[in-house]
Amino acid sequence: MKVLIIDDEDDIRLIVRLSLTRIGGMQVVEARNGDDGLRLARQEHPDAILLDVMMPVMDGPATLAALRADPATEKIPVVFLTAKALPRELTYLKDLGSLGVLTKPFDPSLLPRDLLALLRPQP
Amino acid sequence: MTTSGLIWEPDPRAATEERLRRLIESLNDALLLEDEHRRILIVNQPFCDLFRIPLSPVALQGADCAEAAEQTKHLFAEPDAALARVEALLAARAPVLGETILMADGHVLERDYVPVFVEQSYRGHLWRYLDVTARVRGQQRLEAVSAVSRALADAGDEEDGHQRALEAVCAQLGWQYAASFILAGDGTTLSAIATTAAGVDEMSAERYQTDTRSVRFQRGEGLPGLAWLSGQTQWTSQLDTEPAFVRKPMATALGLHTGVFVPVRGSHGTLGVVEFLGTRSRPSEPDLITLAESIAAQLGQFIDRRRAEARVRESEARSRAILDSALDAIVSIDFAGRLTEFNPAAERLIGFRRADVLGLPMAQVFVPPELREAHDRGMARHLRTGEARVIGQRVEMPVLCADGTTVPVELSITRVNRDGLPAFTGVMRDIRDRKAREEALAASEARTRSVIEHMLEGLILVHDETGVISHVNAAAERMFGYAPGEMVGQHVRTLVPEAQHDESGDYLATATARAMGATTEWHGRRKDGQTFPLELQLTAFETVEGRLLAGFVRDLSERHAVERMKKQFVSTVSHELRTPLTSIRGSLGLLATGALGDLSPDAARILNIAERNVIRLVALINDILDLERLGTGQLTMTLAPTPIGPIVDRAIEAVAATAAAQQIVIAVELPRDLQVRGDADRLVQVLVNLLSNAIKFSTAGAQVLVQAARDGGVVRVTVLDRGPGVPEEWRETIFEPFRQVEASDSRQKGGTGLGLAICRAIVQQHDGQLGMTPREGGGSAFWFTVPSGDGEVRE
Repeated sequence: MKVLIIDDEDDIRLIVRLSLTRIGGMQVVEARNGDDGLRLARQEHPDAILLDVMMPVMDGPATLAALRADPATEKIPVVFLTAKALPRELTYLKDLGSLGVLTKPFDPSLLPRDLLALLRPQP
Repeated sequence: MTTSGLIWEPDPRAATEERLRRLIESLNDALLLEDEHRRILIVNQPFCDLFRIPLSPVALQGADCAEAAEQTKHLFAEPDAALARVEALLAARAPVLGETILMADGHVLERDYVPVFVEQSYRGHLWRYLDVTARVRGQQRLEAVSAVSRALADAGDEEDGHQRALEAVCAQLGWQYAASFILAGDGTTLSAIATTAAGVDEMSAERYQTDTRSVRFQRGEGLPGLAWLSGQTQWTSQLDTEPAFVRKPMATALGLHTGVFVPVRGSHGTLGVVEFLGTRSRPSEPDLITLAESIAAQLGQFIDRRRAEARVRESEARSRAILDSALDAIVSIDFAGRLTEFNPAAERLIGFRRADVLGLPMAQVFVPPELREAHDRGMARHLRTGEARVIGQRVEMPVLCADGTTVPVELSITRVNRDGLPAFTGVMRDIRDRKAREEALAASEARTRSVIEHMLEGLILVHDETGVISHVNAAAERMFGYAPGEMVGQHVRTLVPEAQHDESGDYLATATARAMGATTEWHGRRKDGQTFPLELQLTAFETVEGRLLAGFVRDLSERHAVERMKKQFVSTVSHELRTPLTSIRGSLGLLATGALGDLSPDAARILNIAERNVIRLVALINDILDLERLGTGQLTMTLAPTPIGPIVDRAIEAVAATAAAQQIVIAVELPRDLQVRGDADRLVQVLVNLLSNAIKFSTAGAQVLVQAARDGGVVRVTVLDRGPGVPEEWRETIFEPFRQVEASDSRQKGGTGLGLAICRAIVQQHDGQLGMTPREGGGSAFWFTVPSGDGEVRE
């Protein structure tokens, strides 16, 4: 399973990558901004995208919109990973068309499990 | 003819006799010369006329006088007495001059009797008659009028005046009966006020009085009524047969013949009728009528005067009564400033007795010394020029009382003319109480004004009907950026951004309806056009100027700025703080899993401490955010009917791992299908918190029990433990933020100290309560209530 991480924070990308690869046994590609993310998404065809919200230039929602606008990437499941914590913010992000929202700070030992839980088809 | 007798030396010559005859004949007096045998020697024409003898004087010569006297005796008022008197005179043969003879027709004659002696021997006598009716009548009239005047002047009341006048007339003019009728009651009938009888027997007098006093005349009824109706004097010589005379039986009984009925007129019309009745039949005599009318006129004047006097007396009595009973002090002075009136209220106010001060100069009595000169000057100026500075005004001034104190009074002076001279009446009212009230009111008003002016809140009073600002305090002026006094008179609309102006122009009514009685937020417009948020509390009250709206305004700019900062802070905490925490948390977590390689036991223990504390820090930040959001209402609840069972299940699931780690058993006692009305996620949060606490404070192997039950309109959920319990002094404070029973607990047991505060805030947003009661047999029972969801459709 290949996951694309789009986050401008290098530290966070590293932790997420280690968590998903070492604990979740997943394959990971990383992008440090929305533009790179879009390119890699088209290029790598990931199974899921873990998308940060607050990013310079192109933020999470804009990146999601661009992914959905491109037929090559429109079907890739996207999960937001955000430091936003207000309930209405979470609702807003979910309503944009993401599969779900995971919040920062997260427990790296549980992140792969929580991500898989969101990707699993809902009962 | 004052001689003691006529000495006549008979001249034998015929020429001498002829001269005497000529002399007698030429005189106007009626003369008759008889010889000693009562034969006529000479008689003149006036004599024949007087005694209505149809023969010429010449033809009468030699006629027998005694015979003639018998034939003419009916001409005398009292014929037999008249003849007897003549006999007596003839017998006495002494001159009698100026004797008055009353004739039957009412005339009055004056008679001289002079015996004639020739050489001391009686040779006849001379009769001289003179008609003095006019003279006597004139004199009688004068005497009657004067008698009536005297009678009326001496009279007591009106009735007495009538009585005395009637008596005087009867005595002077020889009427037997007289009565005065006046218009009685409503002026529709005449009735007798006085009657009198003169020279008649008592029975007749009684009869006249009774009959006359008992009769009433309508206008035009009876002779008095006719006199009233016609306004003309009525005269009749035939009372016994006169059809208009209604007291006929009386007339017959009393032998009445002549009656005169004269209207009595006053200045405002007929006042009554006066009647004079006599037993002699007398033809209408203009003289008597004139006399009766002048007496009636006197009576009329008398009545007028008496009534005017009565009116004055009545008016004076009324004035006196008003003065005496007036609550205000009333004093009057004459043109010289002397007191002419000082009523009881003035006595009470000033302390002097009326009798002691009347006639004294007012200024000396109660004008304070320092004002006397001004008073005298003002009075002199007024009398000289008519200028009135105080008269007609209402002024306040002090008066000096008998005890030396001064009392403030309100004074109003009016000028009146008394007997053609200026006089003044002053009405004074003690205004000590009013003054005190006014001062108290002014002080109270000053206090209120001071409070309003120094309020930090702005106050704006607006006339409801017009929307015009009638008053603002300094805080409001500062808030809206106006100079003192600039806002008053403007329309309240100028304080509102134009964008908010109502299209219909009925902005004030709409805004008033929204703001009345509540605290509402609006935007205000400062003088420079800048808009700012404001809080408005609006009330209305009625005043003499109409309904006023009172708006208390508070500038919210600062509060809003603080709120913005707070939001900013929350945002910062939620993102900027969480991002580095994410890195720390993630790093430590990865290390702890061993995914990055094995650690030495010491390193693993130290790493565990770091991880545990970073988790606490994250929890603390989350709790602070929760509490903040709950406090500002940003954490909105979705209240809906929901079954309690799944909520309990989810909460137990959340703490199951912790419970298992501490070997705590969680038991549940729930009735089936119990519904609450609430936000399920938030209620799970509350229950998780309570369960976590219960687990935290329980010893290994202990049981934690969750119960839920209907309690009236609410559902009560209780979490019971067998922990150490909460010391009594902490039972209230544990629900406040950052309170834990012992500081050591938080370190030992973990937790942020915010959990119960968050729980209470959530429960309160459900209109429920959160509390703790000690559990029997040790431990605590934490409980909360939420509204029951029964009876609502399950969504």
